[in-house]
Amino acid sequence: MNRWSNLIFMMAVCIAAPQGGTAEPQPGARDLAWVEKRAQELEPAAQDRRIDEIGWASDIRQARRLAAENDRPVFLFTHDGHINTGRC
Amino acid sequence: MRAGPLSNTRVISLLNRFFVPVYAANEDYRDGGAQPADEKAEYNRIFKEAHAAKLSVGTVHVYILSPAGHPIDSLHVATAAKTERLIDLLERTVEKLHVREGKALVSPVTQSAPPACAADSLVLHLTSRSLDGRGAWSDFPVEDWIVLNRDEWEKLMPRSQLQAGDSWEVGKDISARLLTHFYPPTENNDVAKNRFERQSLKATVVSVQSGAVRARIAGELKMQHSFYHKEDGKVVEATVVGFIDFEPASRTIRSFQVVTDQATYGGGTFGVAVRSLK
Repeated sequence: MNRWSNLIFMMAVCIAAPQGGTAEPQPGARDLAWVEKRAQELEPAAQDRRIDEIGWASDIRQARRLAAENDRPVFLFTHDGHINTGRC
Repeated sequence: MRAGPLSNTRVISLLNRFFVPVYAANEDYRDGGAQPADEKAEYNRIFKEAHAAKLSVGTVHVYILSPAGHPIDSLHVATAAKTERLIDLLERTVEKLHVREGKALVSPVTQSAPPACAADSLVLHLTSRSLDGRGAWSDFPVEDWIVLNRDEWEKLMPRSQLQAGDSWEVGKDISARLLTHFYPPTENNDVAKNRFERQSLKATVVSVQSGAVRARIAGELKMQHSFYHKEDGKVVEATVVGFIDFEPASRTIRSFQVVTDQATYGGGTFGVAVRSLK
């Protein structure tokens, strides 16, 4: 194909693409890869979740039972909101 | 507490080796709260016994209970949040009670877990974090779990035959369910107090292959959200973008993810990501 044929072919591809099975955004746009990367960047990292390193009892009654069985004191933290998700 | 002493290696080690740690969200222990009656009774007993023992008491507080379950020490959160003060309380307790060192009595697990829900629910995990340390708390990202039942998530996809380029507006009730959680880490987390000035999510099909549809989602919101519980006129403004993959024939959502593109609040910027569980 000569230069003009190439140009006409490329224009035809560009026009036809949205009418076919796909119309993916151009690379560099807010495409799927960008969304996935951004979501990953916003996820909590291990250092954000050090609270998970503590062996928390599920509730006060379980804590009391374990304390009595193992002769250990209970550390109870009462708070507003949800410390497990950080919305507190 | 979470970003301070409860992220400190020494505190974590002391709690695991010598104590039975437990936390209690006050909302769950009030009238109408999620905890059962006997759990609420324990919480109230501890508070009353601590008061009778002339210990400091409060709703946001650290209490140390003896192995028999009686309050023997306490700290207001403002003091307990100082790591050295909390370490002092823990070490003092270990010494006073001659606590024997051992392994953690409960295996540490991820504390932010998906809520119990029907098997056919769409469970979405949301993360929100300050991006510049301004206008919101920035110690660590916060999370939410959003559960849409089948009737709700079915509204994310239309019933009509689809081809690339087709688009539809997500119902306002469903977009509101998602976007009301789009705010940075703040003291106020009562989403019932949020007020939308505008909000929308629009989906546009980008591909149809082998019965699977991929649609790009774009949207925006402007929402009043006070930092504390007292109204302060602060507003979230955000644009969002994402993708949904689904199979119209089987009415199945394969994946859903939406993130903020631009988001501002209280003079700062923040980011939110929502993703369906795999």
